[in-house]
Amino acid sequence: MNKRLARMAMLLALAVIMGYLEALIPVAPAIPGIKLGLANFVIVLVMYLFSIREAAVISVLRIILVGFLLSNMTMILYSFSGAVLSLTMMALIKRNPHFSLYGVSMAGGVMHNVGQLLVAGALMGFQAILWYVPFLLGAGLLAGLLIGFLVSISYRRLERYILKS
Amino acid sequence: MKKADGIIIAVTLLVAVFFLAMIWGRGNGQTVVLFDDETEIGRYPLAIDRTIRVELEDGYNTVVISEGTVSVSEADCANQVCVHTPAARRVGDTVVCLPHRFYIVIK
Repeated sequence: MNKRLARMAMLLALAVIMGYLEALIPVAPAIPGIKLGLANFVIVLVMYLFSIREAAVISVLRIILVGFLLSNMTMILYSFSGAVLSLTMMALIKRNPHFSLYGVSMAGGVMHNVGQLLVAGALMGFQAILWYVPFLLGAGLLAGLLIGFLVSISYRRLERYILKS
Repeated sequence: MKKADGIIIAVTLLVAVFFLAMIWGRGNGQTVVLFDDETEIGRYPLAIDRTIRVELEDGYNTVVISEGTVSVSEADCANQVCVHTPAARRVGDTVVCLPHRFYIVIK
């Protein structure tokens, strides 16, 4: 139990730092909202190394922590919407053996952006965000592909240490 | 990567293309509507060329309607985003001047 708690705390810290680091590196400044989703790297990794439940706990705690430390209520709303949709979709797809880690990660990336678009649409009107939809869908797909690759190489290096302990 | 993963790529791209088609498919608008901080302050047909100098609380914007498009040719706002916004002509297109809380919508 203590070991698990320590492990969770470490992974949560990693997820928070990843999100923070990412804010320092702009990927496509012209289109707000496009980013790699390095925090999602931790979430997907935890999902595969441990379980969906642990991934969900880390995701929610991360949003609350980062939200209160660095941003505001609106940003928490955006993050939550993205995280809930993305986690739900990833959990569903992961249960289906026909999909690989890449499928799970891509679905997560896309649904994360769908969640953000829904909130943006509700706040600003869907007419105003129409332009962003195709770009953010494509960006989510690409980010998911990249995160999938990062998770797959990290997973192979980590599983023998973590699953043994 | 497995075969089924392709379904996710295909579905996402399909939806993206659908949205692109929706954006491009919007017809040209009929009317230019001007707003000052959510309040409508003017309505002009897009078909008739004219230049309107809009006086606002924080400054002015010069709106030009020409050949079925509308743009801001000049403004004394700080960021000049409205002046650099491409001419609008489709239904739902907007030109926004945030510093003056002024915007143009095509209907």
